[in-house]
Amino acid sequence: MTGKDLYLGIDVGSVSINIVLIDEKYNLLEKLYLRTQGRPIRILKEGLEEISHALPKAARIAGVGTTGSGRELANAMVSADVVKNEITAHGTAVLHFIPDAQTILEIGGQDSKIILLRNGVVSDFAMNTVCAAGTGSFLDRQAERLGVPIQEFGALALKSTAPVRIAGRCAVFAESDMIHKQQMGCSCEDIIKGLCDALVRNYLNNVGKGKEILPKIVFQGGVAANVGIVRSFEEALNQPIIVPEHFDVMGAIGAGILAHRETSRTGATRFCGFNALIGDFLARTFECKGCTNLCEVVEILSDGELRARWGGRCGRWAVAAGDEAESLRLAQGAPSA
Amino acid sequence: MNIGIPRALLWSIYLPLWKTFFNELGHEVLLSSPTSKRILNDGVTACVDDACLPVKVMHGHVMDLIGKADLIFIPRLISICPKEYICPKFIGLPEMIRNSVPGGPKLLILDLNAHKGLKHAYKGFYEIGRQLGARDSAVKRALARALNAQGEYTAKLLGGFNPLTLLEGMALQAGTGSKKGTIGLIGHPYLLYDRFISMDACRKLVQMGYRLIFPENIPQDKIERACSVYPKKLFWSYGKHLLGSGLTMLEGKMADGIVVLSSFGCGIDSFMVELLQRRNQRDFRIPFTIITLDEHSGNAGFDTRLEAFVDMMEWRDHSGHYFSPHGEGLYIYKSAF
Repeated sequence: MTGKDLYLGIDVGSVSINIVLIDEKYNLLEKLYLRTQGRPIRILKEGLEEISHALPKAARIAGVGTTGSGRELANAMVSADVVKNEITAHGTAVLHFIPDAQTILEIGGQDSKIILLRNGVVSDFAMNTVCAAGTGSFLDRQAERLGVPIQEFGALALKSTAPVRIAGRCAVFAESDMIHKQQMGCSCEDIIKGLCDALVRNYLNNVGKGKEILPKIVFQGGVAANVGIVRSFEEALNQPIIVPEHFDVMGAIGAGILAHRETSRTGATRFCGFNALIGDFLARTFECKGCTNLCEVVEILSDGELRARWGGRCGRWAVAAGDEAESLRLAQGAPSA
Repeated sequence: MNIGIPRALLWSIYLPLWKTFFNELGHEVLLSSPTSKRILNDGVTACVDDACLPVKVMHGHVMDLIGKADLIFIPRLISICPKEYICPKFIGLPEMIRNSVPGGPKLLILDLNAHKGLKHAYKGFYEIGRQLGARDSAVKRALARALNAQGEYTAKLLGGFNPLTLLEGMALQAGTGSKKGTIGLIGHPYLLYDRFISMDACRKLVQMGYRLIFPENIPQDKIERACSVYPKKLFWSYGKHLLGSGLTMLEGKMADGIVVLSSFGCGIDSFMVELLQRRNQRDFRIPFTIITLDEHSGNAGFDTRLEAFVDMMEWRDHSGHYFSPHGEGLYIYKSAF
């Protein structure tokens, strides 16, 4: 086997960073699911290092795609071929594995979304508006409050015999409702099941409002690991729910697939190579004093050299990863903070 | 005298009327600075907590004018059309500002109430004319010229221009080479035409290669006709304007996709946007999304939604656009209309 082409997909989310390595048939060779722990740069760097060790000999990275809320950050570090939003990435991945899927339920750390697929394309989507009730971080928090490890949370819900009703509209209301039910003497299992039902009800009423949920229904994102939520979805929709094998890294897989498509069009990858990732990465922000907007501008430096910069509303500071060296120098010549 | 006009709420619709009126009476007009982070912060700090974002921003603009203008002009728009009202927050605006903005700015308040007939609508102009020491005959002449200027402005809007181009000289035309399609951008004028609050949505969509069509481009008779299908009169002028212009875009196939910008907690939008969305879902099924705006200054969530929407439009377009409007959802709200 000489020169096997592999593709890297990176999903930098609020709670986890997922990295996958796929081949050109989109088979998954490696997957990493890492907690962000508030240090995305370090975790991403370590993850990529791990991947580079796992890389088969004679294989090369022929394309890189990034997605997730930190996709620009990841792009700044690796210089990606595609930088795509999560909706497109998730839709792409699901359509590859389950071509006749019509609905994707996705619940992540701070985002929840619904994506409708019809005839093999994304036809509609919605994301949560301004509230994080009904997302993974809310479950995390409640599990902690009940003293139940999040990994066992779902299994406990399945043991419930008489689920209690918990107010799901707002995380604060849900919490006070739960405390009240505990004080009434309801069992932990029943409260957890009630919480799963509440989260699903909230999701369907908010994110899923007015959306036509048709089978097959695919459920993914970190929360899909929770069998209690899966069961509650099945009960609410009266339909089987498919949780794909790699439900936790579907966004990253989608980014990898998109990278393959992009590089087949362009012919070459922009990926900087693993060697370029050895140095120290530093992110720093400064407040631009150019006008009354006082934008927070973010710079990514690698060994003291500017890699990328973004964040200003007017674009005067913008430097994209992989820009020509000359424009980088010009930008660096601009007054620095 | 130097009269300050806050660049907020309905300034982008009525500026020619107000400016011409004051100029004709021999006064200078000073606009507040464009919305910035400082103006937003000032407004949010001063204003009562439960007002909507645009009202908070209005407070910030008034504060921006303190010390620069002799008088600050605050229109109290009660009704702009017989038998209709506009949002109650506009009715209480002068009192809110007087009680919340520190430093007791000198206000010049125009009461505009056409509820009992258009004749009554002009009374307020004579009142502020007298406050400025002008004779009624002078007011009459100034008002006639102001209405004339306003008429010309409205004609330009109906001719396809938009306030950002006409008032701020912002070029908003997609390059001639791009034929990606047209997006109907729907929302209250104080969201759409404020580059800060709207996170520069107009420019971003144009840069992505789309032509834009706005509610202000749709003639009133079409709006009335589109809204006449509802069993009751829609007595909120601006709500009717949004719904009617959206329906006209749908029915007239004027847009390939609809993006609605709404500010968090807007009562009128909660009805009108829902009605528009249901109608689209039932009869047209073009790409449709709602983006809720509030005080966030981070662009990431906003850009993700915009990008995902445009991706979806292109993806659907490539697949030949056809989506069967039939098929029963498992979980869908039944609409009365």
